[in-house]
Amino acid sequence: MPDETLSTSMGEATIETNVAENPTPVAVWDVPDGTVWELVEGYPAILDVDADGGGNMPRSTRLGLAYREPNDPLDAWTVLNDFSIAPFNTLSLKDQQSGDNAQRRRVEFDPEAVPGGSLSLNDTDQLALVVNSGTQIDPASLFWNYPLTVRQE
Amino acid sequence: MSQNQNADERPSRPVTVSESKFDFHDYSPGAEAVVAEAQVPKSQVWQVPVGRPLVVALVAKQTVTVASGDSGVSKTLDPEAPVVDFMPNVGDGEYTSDANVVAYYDQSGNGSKDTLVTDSTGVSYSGNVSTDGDFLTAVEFSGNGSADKDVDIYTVVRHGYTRIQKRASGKKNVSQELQTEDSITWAFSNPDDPESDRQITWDARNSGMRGVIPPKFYLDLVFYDTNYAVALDAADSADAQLEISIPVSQRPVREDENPTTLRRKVRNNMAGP
Repeated sequence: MPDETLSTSMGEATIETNVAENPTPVAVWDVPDGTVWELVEGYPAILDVDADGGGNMPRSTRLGLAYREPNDPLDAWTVLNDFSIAPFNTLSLKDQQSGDNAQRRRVEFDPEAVPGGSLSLNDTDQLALVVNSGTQIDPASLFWNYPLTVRQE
Repeated sequence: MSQNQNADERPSRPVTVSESKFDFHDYSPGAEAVVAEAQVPKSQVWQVPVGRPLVVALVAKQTVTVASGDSGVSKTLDPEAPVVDFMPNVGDGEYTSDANVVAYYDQSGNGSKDTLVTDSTGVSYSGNVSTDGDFLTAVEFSGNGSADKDVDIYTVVRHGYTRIQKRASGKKNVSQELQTEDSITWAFSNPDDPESDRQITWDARNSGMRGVIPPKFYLDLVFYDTNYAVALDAADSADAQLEISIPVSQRPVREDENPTTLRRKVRNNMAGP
């Protein structure tokens, strides 16, 4: 069972606005020196985000976790999984914290990107929450939380 | 059980470390800092009871100005106030000193904001609030007095995270994290509702040596956010939403135990992650 959380409240997180109509990161985490981050699929994610100017993000919005290794071609992100914003728009943060009805919020990794359902990142890597939407997010409203295991290298 | 039982034969008993046992410190955003500390009594040892529920609700403070002629003027809350399960809701007209939004102003003009705002005070709630999901985003106030009034508004913290750590006293001031959660997770936990599984409990990894807090060590709350502060040392925080309830299992130091040796053993064990 992971004991830490991958959260937008962490000091390692940089929050930014997405570029509309383009898949771009909205939260980027730099793995701290000397540590290894392990992400395991199967847990429900907790997410809340408003559109720029207020209100929900459109239902066509897709979200995903992605990572980037040093010298990745064209600084491309490798997307691990992809999910819809619908369950996060429907449920308030309080309701999401309850474990019931979590199926649609469970993170499942793309087996081609992450064989075995478990991903290890070391301190030269970056992890991001990427968004593809026609609308820009309000960065101040973004909240994300997912279980994370932190080890010393 | 005999009356003259020796201290070192007493079994461990459950103790709750609540807000009254903590000393509070001020906080500036952008750095990780200890905002509350409690010290283990010199004759006692604390052990983390794995699986017991934790309550940590910290307090943020903001100030708005209500003009004397205002009638139901909406004041935006920044930070917003989480509608916390275990506190009365101002949105439902519950204007108590432990509600999710608590406001104070200076009624008498003596320089201290010591009058609780209700629906019948000089500065008063008009009864309307704005919400966004689980958060109150704005509250309407009316000013019936002769002058504009500054109003201190206390809310439960929603930004950043709070970490519980143990810390060695003295020169070798090392610390070890015991549990960290986002402020939102802390706020929306509910230790009392059997229908929800939104309880935050002591993590299982704190069993064994990691969960031992020897005499004179500190149990700290460490807060971090880039933009928003907490105000645990403000005058009315303790009366407002501040609620800390951290269960520990407490036993006396045994006769064959040397507190110094125990501290050294625990401190050496704290080097790891």
